[in-house]
Amino acid sequence: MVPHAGVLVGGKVYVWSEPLDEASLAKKRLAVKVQTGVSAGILAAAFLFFLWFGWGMFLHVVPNGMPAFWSAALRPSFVGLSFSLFLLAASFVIQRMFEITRKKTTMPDGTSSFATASEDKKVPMIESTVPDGERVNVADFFHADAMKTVEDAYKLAASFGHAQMLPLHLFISSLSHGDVPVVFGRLGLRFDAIGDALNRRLLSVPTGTGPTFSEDAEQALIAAFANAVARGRSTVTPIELFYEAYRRDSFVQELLYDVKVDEARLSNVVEWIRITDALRERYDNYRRAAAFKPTGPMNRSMTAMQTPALDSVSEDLTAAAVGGRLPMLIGREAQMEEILRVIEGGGRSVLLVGPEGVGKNALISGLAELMVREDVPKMLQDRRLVSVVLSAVISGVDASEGQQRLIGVLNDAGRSGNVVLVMQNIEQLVESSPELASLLVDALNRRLAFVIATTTPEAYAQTVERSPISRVFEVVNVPEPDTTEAIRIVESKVGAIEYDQNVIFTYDAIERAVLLSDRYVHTSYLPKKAIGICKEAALVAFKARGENAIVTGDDVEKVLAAKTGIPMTQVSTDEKDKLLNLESTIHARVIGQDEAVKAVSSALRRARTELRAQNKPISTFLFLGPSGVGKTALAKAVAASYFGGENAMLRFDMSEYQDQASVYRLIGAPGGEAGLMTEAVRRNPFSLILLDEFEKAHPNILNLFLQVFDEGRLTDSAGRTVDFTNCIIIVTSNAGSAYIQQAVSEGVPNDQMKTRLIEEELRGTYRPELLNRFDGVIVFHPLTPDDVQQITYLMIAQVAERLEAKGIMFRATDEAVQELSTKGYDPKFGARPLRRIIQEEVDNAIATALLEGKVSRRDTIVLHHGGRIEIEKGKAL
Amino acid sequence: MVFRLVASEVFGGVALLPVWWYTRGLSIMTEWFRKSVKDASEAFALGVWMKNLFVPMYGDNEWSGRVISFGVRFAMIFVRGGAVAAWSAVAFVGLSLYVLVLPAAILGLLYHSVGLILF
Repeated sequence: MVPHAGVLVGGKVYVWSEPLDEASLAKKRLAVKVQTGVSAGILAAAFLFFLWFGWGMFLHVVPNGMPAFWSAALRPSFVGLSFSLFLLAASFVIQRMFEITRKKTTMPDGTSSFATASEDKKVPMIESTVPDGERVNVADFFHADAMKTVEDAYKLAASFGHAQMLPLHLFISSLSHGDVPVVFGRLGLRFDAIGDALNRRLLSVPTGTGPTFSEDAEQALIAAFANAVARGRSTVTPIELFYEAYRRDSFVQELLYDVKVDEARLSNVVEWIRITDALRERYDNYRRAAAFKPTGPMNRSMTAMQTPALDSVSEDLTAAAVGGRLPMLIGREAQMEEILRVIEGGGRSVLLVGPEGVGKNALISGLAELMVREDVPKMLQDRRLVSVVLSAVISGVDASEGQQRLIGVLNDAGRSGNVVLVMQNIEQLVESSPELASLLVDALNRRLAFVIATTTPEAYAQTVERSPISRVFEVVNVPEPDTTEAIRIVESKVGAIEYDQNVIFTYDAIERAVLLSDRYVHTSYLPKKAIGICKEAALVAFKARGENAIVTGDDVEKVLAAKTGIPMTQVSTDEKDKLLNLESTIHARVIGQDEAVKAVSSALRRARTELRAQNKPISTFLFLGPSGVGKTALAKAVAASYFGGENAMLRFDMSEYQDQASVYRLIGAPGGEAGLMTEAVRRNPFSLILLDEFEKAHPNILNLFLQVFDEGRLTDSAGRTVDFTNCIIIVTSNAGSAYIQQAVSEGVPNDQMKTRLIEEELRGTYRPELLNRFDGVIVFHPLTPDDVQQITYLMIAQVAERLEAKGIMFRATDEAVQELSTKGYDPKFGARPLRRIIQEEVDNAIATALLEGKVSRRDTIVLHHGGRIEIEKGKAL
Repeated sequence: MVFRLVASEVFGGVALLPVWWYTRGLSIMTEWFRKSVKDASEAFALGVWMKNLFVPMYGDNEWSGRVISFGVRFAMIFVRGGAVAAWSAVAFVGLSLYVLVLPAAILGLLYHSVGLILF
C-alpha cells in the first residue's frame, strides 16, 4: 500500500504500508494457517525422531554399554541417523520458537520511570505528506489484537459495500477487542446505548467498489502508533485505535457526548487502563531488580556498620520497598527530578514542603523504589533509606535524653555511611527543642548525615523557616496535584480498593470523588481526600449491594453529602417541589417583603442547579430597613425551610464586634483559640450566615468581608483556608432607615430609593467597593397595619403550636387579634413590640390559667377582646 | 497457492535455517550469553567488591582493620570471581553447543544416511 501520511520519530519515518484488501487478507490468513501447520509438523517430526533415537538407544546401546555408544556415534547407524534428524528438527523448532516469541521490532523510546500520569508527554506530530527518510511500517508494532481490529474494520466496510474504510469502522471494530470493552464498563456504558445510532450511521456511509483506505483511517492508525510511543507502550493495542478513531470521527464524538462521555473523560479512562498495565509491567521489572537489594543494615560492599540506636527509632524504607510494602509512585515526575537534581547538584539535604495528603510520602516511597532499582545518583547508590520516627526520639523523655537519642541516630547514620535519613514532619523536632534542631544542623553541616525531611507549608512558615534548620535544607515544593493528575493517581489506587472491598468502580465515581472533594472538602488535600472518599463509597456500595457491586458517582455523592452536609445528589422530586415553592414556604413565616423573599429563593434555586459562580458564596445580600420589619425573620425562615432548621443559621451580632481586637474573635488569634466564624463555617460549610447590624462592626471587619464576598474564602489565624462558597451570607443593617421611612411615606419608587441609598445615604457607613460586592441590596419596607395584623395571626399560631404539645387547643377571636396588632405596632420599631405584647397579654394569661388548674388536656383556650380568656371544656373520655 | 506456500515454508526454511542460525539466531544467543555473565556478576556483586578492594569493611578504619579487610576482600573477590567464571563457563558451553549443533546435525545426517545406504 502506498502511504499518504507518516510520523517522524527518532529520525525514522513511520508509515502504514501494510496491504489491506481482500486478496492480501486471504493470503495472510492462509499463510498463518500454513505456518502453524508446518510448525506443528516439524514439532511432531522432532518428537518422532526423538522416540526413534530413544528406542534405538534402548535396544542397541543401553544393553552393551559405552563401546556400543561410540560405535553408534562413529559408525553409520540408525541411532546416529535418528539423533541427527532429531537435532535438525529441534533446530527448526528452536528457530520458530525464537521467531514467534521475539519482538519483531522495538518501539522507539521516550518516557521516564514514572511515565504513567504525566501531562508533559509529547505525542509526535503526524505529517499529512510522507517526510523523507528511512521508512518503517507501523503495522509491525501492532499487537495481534490490534491487527485483528484493523482487519475486522476492513471486513465491516466491505460487508456494507462502503467505498472507503473510515475511522467509524475502526471505532466499531475496536469495541470488541482488547481492553476496549473494559473502557465501556468503566464508563458505565452499554453498547446498546449507542448500537442503533452506529447502525444508522453505517447505513448512511456512501457505498462503492472497494473499500479503499480513507486518509482519516490511515492517520488514525499512525496516530495510534504515535500515541503508544508517547506513553512508552511496548506495542500498539486496540485501545489506542479506539481512542484515535474516536478523535477522528465527529459523529462518534457527538454520539458519546450524548451519553455524557466527552474527550476528557474518555482520555482519563483510556489512561486508567494504561496505568493498570504499566503498573503491572513496572512491578514485574521492579521485582527482578529488588532481588539484588540487601534488606538488612549491611550494604552490598559491606562497608556499613550495625546501627542499633538508629534501628530502635526507625523503619527501613528500602527493606519495606523490597518487601513490596510501599505504594508505587504515580506522576510527580517534576518533583522527583528536582529532588534527584538537588541531591546530585550539591548533596544538600532536601526538605519537601507540601500540604498534608498531597503525596510527600508517596514521593519518598518512589525514591525508595528508585534506590532499590539503583536508578539514582551515585551518592544514593548502595544505600538504604531509613525513616526516623521523630516522636520516638523526642517523646516521653527530657531534653537531654532526647539529645542523646538524636546524637545516637546521627552517629549511627554517619558511621555506617550507607544510610539516607527520612524525617517526616521535621517541625516536631524544631518545636520540641531548639537544641535538637541545632544538633541536626551541625550534623548536616559536617556532612555526617543526609536527610530528606517533610513539612507542611504552614509549619514551614511558622516554625521551620525561622529556625537554623532552614539554612541546611534545599526546599522542594510539593503542590497539590491538579484534578486531572489527581484523577489518574486515584485511578492507580482504585485497583487495591476494588480488591479489598470486592467492588468495581466506574470512572464517574472516581471523577466525582476528585472534582467534588476538590470543590467541597477544604480540610484536606488531593489526592488523599479523594482516595478516602473512594474507600468509603466502596464500603457503602458493598454494604448496599453486596459483592461485585458497581460503585457509581451517586455512591460518592452520598458519602460526600453525609460528610459535608451539602446537598449534591441529583435534585429529587420532593426537593424540586420544595425549591419551586420556596417563596410560599417562606411566606408562611414572613409577611410581605416580596422582593427579598424572591431574591433569596432564586439564589437557592440557582445554587442547587449549579448555575452559580463556583468561586463565590452562593449569594450575598444586604437587607436594609428599619427595625422589626422582618430582616432577621426572613433569614431564619430561609434557614428553617431549606437549611434544615433555624440552628443551621450561623448568626453573628456585629454590635459585639466593634473594637479592632474583635477581628481575632471572628478568625482566631495567632497561636490562640480558633475563630468563631471561621471554625463554624469550617464545620458547616453549607449554611446561612447572618451578620446582624453590620454597620456597627469595626471597619477592619468590613474589610475582611470584602475578600469573603469576592473570593468565597478566608484564611484563619492557623493559616487554614476556610471555604465560604457554599454559604448564603445575609447582612442586615439599619443604616438609612430614616430615609427609607421618609421615602416610603412620600411614595418614592423603589429603584429611585435604592439608588439614593447606595449613592448617598450609605456612603458614610459602607465603602462603595463593599456595597458593589453584594449580589443584591434589598430594601425592606416599613410594615403596614395590615402586615402587622397578619404577623399577629402568625404569632398566635405559634402560641397555639406550643400549647398543642400539652394537648390544649388555643385560638383568638378576630377582635382580639386586631387589638393585639394595634397595640403591638410601632412605626419606629415595626412589629418588634408585638412579641412583647403577646408575651404580656396572651402568654401571661395562659400561664396563670394553667397554674390555677383551670385548663386540662383537650380543653380549648379562647382569647377574646380585652385580653379575656375563656376556656371551652373538652369532651370527657 | 497452498502448495507454493507450504513448499516455501518448508524448503525455504531448510535453505535459510543455516543463514538464520548464524545471523539472527547467533545474535540472540550471544546476547543471552552476555546477559548471563552480567547477571552472574551482578548476583555475586563482583564489581562492588572490586571497587571497594581498599575500603575497610564494617567501617573499621584502624590499620589492622584495613589489612584484614583487604585480605578478606581479596579472598572474596577470588571466590566470587571463581563463581562468576563457573557460571560464565556453563553459559559458554551453552553458546558453543548452539554454534556446533547445526553443523553436527547436518554432518551427522549426511554421514549416517550415506553410510547406511552405501555400506
